[in-house]
Amino acid sequence: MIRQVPVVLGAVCGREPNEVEARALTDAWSIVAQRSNRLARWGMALALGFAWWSPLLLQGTPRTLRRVSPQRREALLVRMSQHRWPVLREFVLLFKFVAALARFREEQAVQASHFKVGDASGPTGLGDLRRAP
Amino acid sequence: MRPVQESSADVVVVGTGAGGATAAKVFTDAGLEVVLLEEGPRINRGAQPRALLDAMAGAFRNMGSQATARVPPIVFLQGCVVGGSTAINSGIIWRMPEDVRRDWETRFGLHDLVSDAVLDQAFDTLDRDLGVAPVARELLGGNGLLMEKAAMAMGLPGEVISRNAPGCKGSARCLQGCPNHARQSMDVSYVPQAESRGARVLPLHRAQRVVLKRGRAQGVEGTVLDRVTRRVCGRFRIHARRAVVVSAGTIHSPLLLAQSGVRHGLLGRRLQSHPGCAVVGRFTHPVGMGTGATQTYEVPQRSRGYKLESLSLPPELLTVRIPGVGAAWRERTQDLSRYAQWCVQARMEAQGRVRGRLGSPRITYTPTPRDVARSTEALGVLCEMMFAAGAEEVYPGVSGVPPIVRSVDEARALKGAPLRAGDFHFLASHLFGTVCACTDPRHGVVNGELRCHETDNLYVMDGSVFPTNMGVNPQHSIMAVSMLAAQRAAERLRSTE
Ligand SMILES: Cc1cc2nc3c(=O)[nH]c(=O)nc-3n(C[C@H](O)[C@H](O)[C@H](O)COP(=O)(O)OP(=O)(O)OC[C@H]3O[C@@H](n4cnc5c(N)ncnc54)[C@H](O)[C@@H]3O)c2cc1C
Ligand code: SF4
Repeated sequence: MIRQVPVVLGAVCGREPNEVEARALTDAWSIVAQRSNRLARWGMALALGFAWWSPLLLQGTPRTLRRVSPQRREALLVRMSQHRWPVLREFVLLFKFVAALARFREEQAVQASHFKVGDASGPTGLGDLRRAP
Repeated sequence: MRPVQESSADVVVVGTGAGGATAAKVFTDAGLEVVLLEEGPRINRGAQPRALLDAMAGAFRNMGSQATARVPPIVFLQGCVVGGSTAINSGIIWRMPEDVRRDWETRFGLHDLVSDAVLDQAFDTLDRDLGVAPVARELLGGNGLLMEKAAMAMGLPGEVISRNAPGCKGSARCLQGCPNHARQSMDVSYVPQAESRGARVLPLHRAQRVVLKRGRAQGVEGTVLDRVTRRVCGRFRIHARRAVVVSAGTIHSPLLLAQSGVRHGLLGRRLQSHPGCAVVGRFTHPVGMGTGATQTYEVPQRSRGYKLESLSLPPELLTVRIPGVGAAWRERTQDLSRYAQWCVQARMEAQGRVRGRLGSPRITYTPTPRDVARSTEALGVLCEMMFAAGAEEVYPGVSGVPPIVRSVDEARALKGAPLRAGDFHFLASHLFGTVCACTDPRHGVVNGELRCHETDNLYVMDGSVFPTNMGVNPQHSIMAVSMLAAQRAAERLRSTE
């Protein structure tokens, strides 16, 4: 089941997640676990659970999320990202954050050697990252 | 069981944030021996984390995930590190507004803390000590400059922000801790100054109880935390010869007091705040959000109940704010240089409550319909400003309206949109009121000296004593009020030698 989580992440990012992104899920878990609002924490855990038990969300189709077309996965996530229940929206935000963490961790690793800490033109700001490959 | 670390000091201060560090500096200047307890770690010079997640794990309470208990979950950001929330804030400086001073004098009897003569003197001292000045033009950054352009185009009363960051190099990453130690947060200013006069700072020491006997604070007991796991690895007990000062911040001060046996009907109640939300705009040209100071330009609208600010975010957080999923999201996040982000801080009338135990607070706080209407209006104004600055599309970041706004007319229409509190992703970092100060013991937990009404030598000096929110950034006011209260307390403690 846990293999489905990267699939949701893939749907958020619009492509298959790479190894770094898949690893960043651990970070997501650490954030969810720290959430002091029990409702939101359970909500997010539930949402991650939904991702695993995707047939429940996808109108009861017996197929796993992996077999659902990317278009349907995206459509579902779009609905979730605009849903009026904030916990569902947070779920999508969390996955976006995970994808972003992975992306910038990779890019900073690539770029780290080119900049000095504390330099305004250094790798700490957005200006630098936009030049990332 | 490990042995209990025992020691003593004249004054034990719990918390090293705006209130605690300022109080400790005043006490050491007065020749008193001080111990400063801090639940979070000390992040050493040169070792500031560069990755956002490391900063969240190392310096933010609950990794930045502390939130209210009901829907909508509102994130309450606080620092948990030497320097408290000042170590991760943007360094924006505001003096307490005139109307707030008069309100506190008349309704809460706090004349000794907020009369113009004493308060402005404290602000002058802080300005000098912490190098307060308006952001230099070359540090305004693309994000701030665009906001200035928008304010001018729309005739709004905008201004360059004043900050306490004299050596700022404009690396737009205050949230992760300043790598240059330019921003004069407490960890690089009053805490080391107190240490140089003999104060002992004990990071990773969480106070669990102020020991109270016959109306006197005798000392503080608590647990020592492991640096890596943050699990309990020891216990401590510090005897306070003269006084205990609780400066654990608006969420934890009331819990610590309650856990210590302080009883008052208002303890933990009247939680007030300035929750905010943000708008992102996409431009046809590079904006340069990654250079310049983190926050540089503001449009104060106090009469309307909100304040607008430019806010540069690390890319990980900016990306999250960009709408869509899948290929559309990927396309929009390819070139992050074209985005600007501005935020709203609303002076909400809602009052919430903090309950529970230290470490697992239960926070309830629900914006009123008027608060939501105010935030909706501010959101619409920000969207309109984005177009005035030349944005091609704008993301309001709330549900219940289109995720992408493409014209100024659509932006204007947002101001009256029928939004609900749950449509916003509110985030609050200015917190007040849970240990309200008032000279009348029926209406305040602490008196006009910030001393608990029923005790002889137990003080509270932090944002929790503010009886109302203010509509402006609070750190300078928290420091000034703590400075004045600590000066009076030092005089009193020495006169009873
Ligand atoms: C991200 C962010 C940005 C901000 N930006 C600005 C800004 O630009 N301008 C502005 O004016 N304000 C800003 N603020 C708000 C400002 O920083 C706070 O209002 C101010 O620091 C609060 O001071 P305080 O003393 O009440 O608490 P804090 O500064 O939060 O300090 C409380 C300290 O007590 C410690 N503590 C808590 N419980 C215990 C315990 N049991 N034992 C030992 N230690 C304990 C905490 O770990 C913490 O270090 C910002 C806040 C945040 C979080
Ligand atoms: S903008 Fe950069 S250099 Fe300036 S105070 Fe913030 S972190 Fe420090």
